[in-house]
Amino acid sequence: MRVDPITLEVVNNALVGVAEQMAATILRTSYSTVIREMLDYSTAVFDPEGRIIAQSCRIPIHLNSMSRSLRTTLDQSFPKIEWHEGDIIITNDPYRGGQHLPDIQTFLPVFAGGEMVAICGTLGHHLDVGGMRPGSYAGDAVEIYQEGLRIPPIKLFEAGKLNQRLFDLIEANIRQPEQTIGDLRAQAAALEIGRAGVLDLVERYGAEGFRDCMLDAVDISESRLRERIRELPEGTFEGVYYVDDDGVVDEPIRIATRITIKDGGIHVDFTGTDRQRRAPINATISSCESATYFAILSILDPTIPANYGVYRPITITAPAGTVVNANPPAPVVGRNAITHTIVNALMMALSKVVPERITAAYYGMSNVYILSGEGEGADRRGWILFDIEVGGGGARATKDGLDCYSQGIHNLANTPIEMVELNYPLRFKRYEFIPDTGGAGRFRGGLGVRRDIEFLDEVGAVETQFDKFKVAPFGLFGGGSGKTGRLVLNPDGPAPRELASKNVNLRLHRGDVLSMWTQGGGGYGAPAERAQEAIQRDLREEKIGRAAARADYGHARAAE
Amino acid sequence: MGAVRIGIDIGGTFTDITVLDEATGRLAIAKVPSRRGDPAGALVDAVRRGLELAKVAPGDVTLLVHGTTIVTNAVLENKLPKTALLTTEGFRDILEIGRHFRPDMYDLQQDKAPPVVPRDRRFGVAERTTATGEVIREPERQEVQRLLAQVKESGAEALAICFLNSFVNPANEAKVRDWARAELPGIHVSASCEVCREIREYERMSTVALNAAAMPLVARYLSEIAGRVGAVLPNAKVLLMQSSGGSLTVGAAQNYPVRMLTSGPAGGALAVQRIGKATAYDNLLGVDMGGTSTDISLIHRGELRMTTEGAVAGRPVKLPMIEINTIGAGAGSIAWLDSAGGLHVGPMSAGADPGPVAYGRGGTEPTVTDANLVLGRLHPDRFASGDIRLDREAARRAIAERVGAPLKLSVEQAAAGIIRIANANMERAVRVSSAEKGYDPRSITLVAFGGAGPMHAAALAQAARIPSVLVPEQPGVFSAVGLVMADIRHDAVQTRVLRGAAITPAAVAPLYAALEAEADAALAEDGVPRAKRLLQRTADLRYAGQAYEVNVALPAGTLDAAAVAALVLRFHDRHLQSFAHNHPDKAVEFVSARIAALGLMSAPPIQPRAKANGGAVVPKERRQVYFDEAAGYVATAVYDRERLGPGATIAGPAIVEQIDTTTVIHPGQKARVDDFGNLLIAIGS
Repeated sequence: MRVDPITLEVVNNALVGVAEQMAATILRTSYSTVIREMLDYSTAVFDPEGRIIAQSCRIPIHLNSMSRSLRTTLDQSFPKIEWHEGDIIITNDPYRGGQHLPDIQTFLPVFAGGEMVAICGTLGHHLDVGGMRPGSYAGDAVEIYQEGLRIPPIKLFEAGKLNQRLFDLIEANIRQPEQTIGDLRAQAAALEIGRAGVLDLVERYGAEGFRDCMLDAVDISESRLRERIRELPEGTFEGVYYVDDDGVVDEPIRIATRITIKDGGIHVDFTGTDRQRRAPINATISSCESATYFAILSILDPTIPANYGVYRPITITAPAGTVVNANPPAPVVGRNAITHTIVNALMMALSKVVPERITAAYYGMSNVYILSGEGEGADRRGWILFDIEVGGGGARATKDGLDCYSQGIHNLANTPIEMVELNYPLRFKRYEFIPDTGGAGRFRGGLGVRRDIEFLDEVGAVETQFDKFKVAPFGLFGGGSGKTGRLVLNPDGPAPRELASKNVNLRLHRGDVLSMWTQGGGGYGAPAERAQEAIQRDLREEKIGRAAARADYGHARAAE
Repeated sequence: MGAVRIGIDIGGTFTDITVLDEATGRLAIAKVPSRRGDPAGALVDAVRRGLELAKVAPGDVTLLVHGTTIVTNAVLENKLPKTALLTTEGFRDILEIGRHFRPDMYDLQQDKAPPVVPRDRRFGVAERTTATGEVIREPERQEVQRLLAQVKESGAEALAICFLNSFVNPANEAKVRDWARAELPGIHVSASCEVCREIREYERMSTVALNAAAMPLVARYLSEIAGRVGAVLPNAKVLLMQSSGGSLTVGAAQNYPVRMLTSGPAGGALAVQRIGKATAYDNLLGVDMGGTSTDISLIHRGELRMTTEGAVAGRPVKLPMIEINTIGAGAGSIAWLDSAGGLHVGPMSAGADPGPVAYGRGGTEPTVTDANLVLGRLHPDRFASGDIRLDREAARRAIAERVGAPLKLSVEQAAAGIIRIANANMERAVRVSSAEKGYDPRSITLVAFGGAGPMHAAALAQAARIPSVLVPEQPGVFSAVGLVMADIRHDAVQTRVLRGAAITPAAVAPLYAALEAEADAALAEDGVPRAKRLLQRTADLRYAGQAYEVNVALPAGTLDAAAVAALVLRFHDRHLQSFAHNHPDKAVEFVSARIAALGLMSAPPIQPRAKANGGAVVPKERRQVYFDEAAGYVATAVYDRERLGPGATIAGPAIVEQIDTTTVIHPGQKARVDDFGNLLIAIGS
């Protein structure tokens, strides 16, 4: 330890405050619904080596990948010596530490007395970065080149001066440039706020004191996680789970995990996982690591400050050329099918070690849908709405799973219906829990939700990236599976059409209704052990139906 | 004696009483233990105590302003009356789904707040209004009657109604509300169009559900106190404190009880504003530190900072309220070590029972109070009027064993560390309320109150770069002063989204005209004479495409093209101030029109005190107090606050003791007492 524990606590809290303040700036000043309503963005502070020190409470899959992106930038593109006061470096390259093209990261070095003392970073999911489909979610891409504009690390601002030509290049290659450029400006403004916050701390504690605090923070998180790992029995534990398909070829994708606990470290081996696909479902190593870090940290000890130190006890073997460590030019936009499945597979593996801390499988997919229309009338303007929906949480050792609540590697808010209807030619018909979607068990899985949207523009399309329509969210210790998801076109019309989970350029016309049914979470423990009063409450609240109650929990117990 | 006002704030542990003589501006303040179980009886008790205290005849009291936490407590304890909800068919789960963002990224065991109305009492009505206000399906009376029968059947005491897009056109909602009132005479009915006409269905639904649920509670309470107060104070009008810093008549409180939800800390913020007016400090930060939490409020250029994005126990309340940042750091916050030896303070608190180790009531975990005692800042025999004798040895042992030994620190270093961390937690909150909102801390005066505020304020101000601290005369009961200063207030809002060139006087003026007529009628109903009515306009604006609005003032007078242009300019300025950038070339969107309607109660200004002998004063004793910056104990002068008259000056280090608090002045700092009896501490750099 370099710093006394009191100063360390004070400085670390302040740094998390800086990250939160950056996040608040983006929230208040961004433009696209993706960032401003869905909160699909993250902010963090790094040390000059690119190690993440403090993060805002936003999206875990972003945060635990930003270090790799930044460190790759430092190693391969801009060594420290090429960073100058007032620079902002941006990148979205999945094959240089990123995850998928819509996630644009920005980094700003903070200098004090001529020395770089920290780097502030933001990551925003942008509404569109070009490519062959609106929202840059091309379900039929076979190579990354089709997915949109790929930006290796490059200076967006150089010594405080905007690189207008780069802005022009970006603008010329994307749909809805107004929103993307506005969001990039919000990201830049947040970095300035972060810089001021860091400098304030450096002024108070000195550059050296500040650096020591960052080093200690990382060491402490590492030692706390190692201590937790040492409490576990040593051994090897497996969890295998599946993605439905890649949207192009109708075959399940196997995610194999083998966890070895030994000497205060955890090794996760993905050997046995399927080869990468010529479909936009692949994850780069950064996505794979991020999902792994999230799962282990949330299961073993969510109170440890999440910084670079918690990565150190975790080692990963992810064979190149598989869906968890794809080689270029594999397309990657739908990588969350893989990362959610990694988290659930690791839950399964660790259920054998810490059954009281894991959850049964949650809904297991970001359930992305992108609606777009061409607009009408003389001043017609095209529009794009990017949205996601969540489902039921996995049941836990002592309580039910949460009904329709963000779980796992993402953490998104829904967009207010009234905000969508005000800005887009869309009308909601329904947004309701679906009874009987939570897996039965001593503790019930959370419920999925049904969301029906009527299309009011003349003509348009929808792209979807859903999953777990065939592979159900599993229950544990006797608990039942959650219900799989479904997508239906015109469910209440004369000719309802059942859709696949992944759709490309599905044409929509005025009056069409898209109905999304999200997945329920898995149950935990034998249904026979469920408390009578919990069954009665679920019946009263119509979260389970009478027929299902009899089937799952038995006649007598379901009777009033 | 002429007209007298009484303010009574009933909290969980103490009831604060303020008596204000309107003619002289003289204030008398007292604190008595609260009586549990019978809030109305406690109120009458407190009234009697107030009359005695100020030697006032009951007939002279013209106004009783009451702050109550019965609504807040019921929400926090999940003890709201049974309530039902009618909403648009297909959307009854919005109240439970919420925005589905989780506040903790990694905790797999977290839960969300249970909905105010459970699913079996939420009903869908076949009806629909579009985003432009067109009714595409009217509710059918027969269907609604069937649902209302189910509402009655469910045993609900209250009914909330919230339909999609009712903020644009409330016709369907109003129709169903009227039917409900006709069909369900014994059930309280509240419709969102009466409570909050703003976009965002979940937040609006949450607000009206809370309002409906609180109605039966408040109706019972108010009918009980009406008779009993009337018997004691024959000439007094009764008003209730609301979260916005204004007061409500009894009638309005029955219809809009959700407006009282965060009224507790509002009194304190209002008192800070009034003291600013008297002392001519324009920018003030109120820091109200109690046993378990600290409430922080900001006054900028004399105006309280307001928000419409408040929440109580995870449930949004979309109404104007004083922006108060509450953090879980108080005198009872517990110091603890994590598994790697990191020291943390709070958010767990020892509360009043068992309380800090030093109370000797079974507490074993060291708290902030224990640390202050160990360092000599608190006197063991002079805590809380001497009601509780503090055990310094027990506090020392607990800190030594639980913090000092594991960290290899002396007991003093450990205690000082606990205080530094508690201060750092507060400092972060102070920054959220000041620097992060674009306010320069160097222009701010920190007003410290609550039982523990003055003990920490000088160190806190120094860390947050705030140059001066003001400790009012009776910091422990300061919040109650705000009650008798409050004006009657009604807030009304209407969302109407207008983009760019569509923001014209023709579009905007009718919005305000309608809101003003409504607000003026509400004041008339409250019995406020025309000359005492003041209507304040504001507007929520944003850049087209943004999701969050900035509230900007709009002057009274004719709403012509120049007024609209000036409004847009002010928005650009506010955006720049708050977020450090703006886009004057971008299209601006008008989102909501707001009116704050005040019934001016003309509270007299706080009066300066008679001049006493100024200059240096003699301490009553010296004792050893530990200061970090001196890295050890320093012989420190101790003063009695009662004996510090206007003009008195003190040089730090010093301790100032009074019945309800202790003020710490650090080495190198200087303090003086101003004309109003406030202790002003100048923080050196």
